[in-house]
Amino acid sequence: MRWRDRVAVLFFPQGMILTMAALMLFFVHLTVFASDVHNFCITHHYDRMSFRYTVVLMFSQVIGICWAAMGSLYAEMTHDKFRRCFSLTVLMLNGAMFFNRLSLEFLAIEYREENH
Amino acid sequence: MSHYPTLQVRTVNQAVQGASVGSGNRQAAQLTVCTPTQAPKGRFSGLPTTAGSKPFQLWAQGLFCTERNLAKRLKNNSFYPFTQQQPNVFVLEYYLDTLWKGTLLFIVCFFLVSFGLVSEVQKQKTWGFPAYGVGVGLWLMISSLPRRRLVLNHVRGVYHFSIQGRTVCQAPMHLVYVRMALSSDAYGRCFFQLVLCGHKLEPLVLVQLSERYEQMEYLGRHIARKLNINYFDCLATSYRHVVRHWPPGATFSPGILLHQNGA
Repeated sequence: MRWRDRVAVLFFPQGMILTMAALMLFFVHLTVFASDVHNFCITHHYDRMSFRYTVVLMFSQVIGICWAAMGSLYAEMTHDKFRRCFSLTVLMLNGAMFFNRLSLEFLAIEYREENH
Repeated sequence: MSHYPTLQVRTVNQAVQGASVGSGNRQAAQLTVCTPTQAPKGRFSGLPTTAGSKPFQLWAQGLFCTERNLAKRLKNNSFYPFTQQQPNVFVLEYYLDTLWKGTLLFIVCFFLVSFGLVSEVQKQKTWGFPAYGVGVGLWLMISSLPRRRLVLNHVRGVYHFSIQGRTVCQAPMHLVYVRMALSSDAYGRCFFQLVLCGHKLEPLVLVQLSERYEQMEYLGRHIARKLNINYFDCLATSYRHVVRHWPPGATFSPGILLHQNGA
């Protein structure tokens, strides 16, 4: 019964689920960003960058920010210092990753596939 | 309203004295306001199977005239959405409506991903959108699969909320209530909702958007009277609240006048 108990705890509390999902999305975006920076600056393999997934990536980053914001709202209501700090950190990380992504896309805008 | 307490006393006496079922049914049918078919349902059988017979009853609320839908259901089961297990104990077992919404989203997005219908738009790979749908739908489905159970126990004066047998909250009776909620559109038209909620409970919408305030108020007060819980109006300060259970220290705080509000 113990694993079922732990799984049941996973569904409550509400705010932590959103924050954990935003944290997972942050790690996914971080790996994609790291591989893009590696291909752009170091190995110069521009065809291995994530240009085909730009739309989905932007959508995903915005969703990550929204979920982190909602989780932070729930955490603010609990008056628990650790949870508030944690959710705000996740929110700031997601926001920073979004602006990093935007800057990289702007820098790499010349290296996209040409259509004539 | 005045005959409701006497109904309680008589049924308790009958249960104690073990009167014959026939005479008990006839007497209960005389006293009940709604239907005689409701009387023998849970009281004399004593089996827990009557509870949880319709866990999906909250899903089908209808699109038009939802308050008439509720009134029809109240005619069939006078303690809707609860079932009466013992004279003062009401049980509700239900699944959240996100179960069918999550399942639908999961199935639709899974078909989109597996058949590749929206996989590429103008050289951008867009299969990520239905993949998101698969993830979110799966999450909604899994979190709604455990069955919820809400028990109103007037004998002990507490309500008990559990999810798949695991207790979430057990608290005194003044923390669960029926509430009328108000939302209005930009033109000033008001829409009302009847919600059954409480402390650490998931809000259950009994009637979706409806414009008829008097009928909604009547239904809300009727349900609260049958279940013997508080009823609150849409505004926070209003003389239309019906408070049957006060919080423990209420009589000692200034500004609360003890009026016995007849419903």
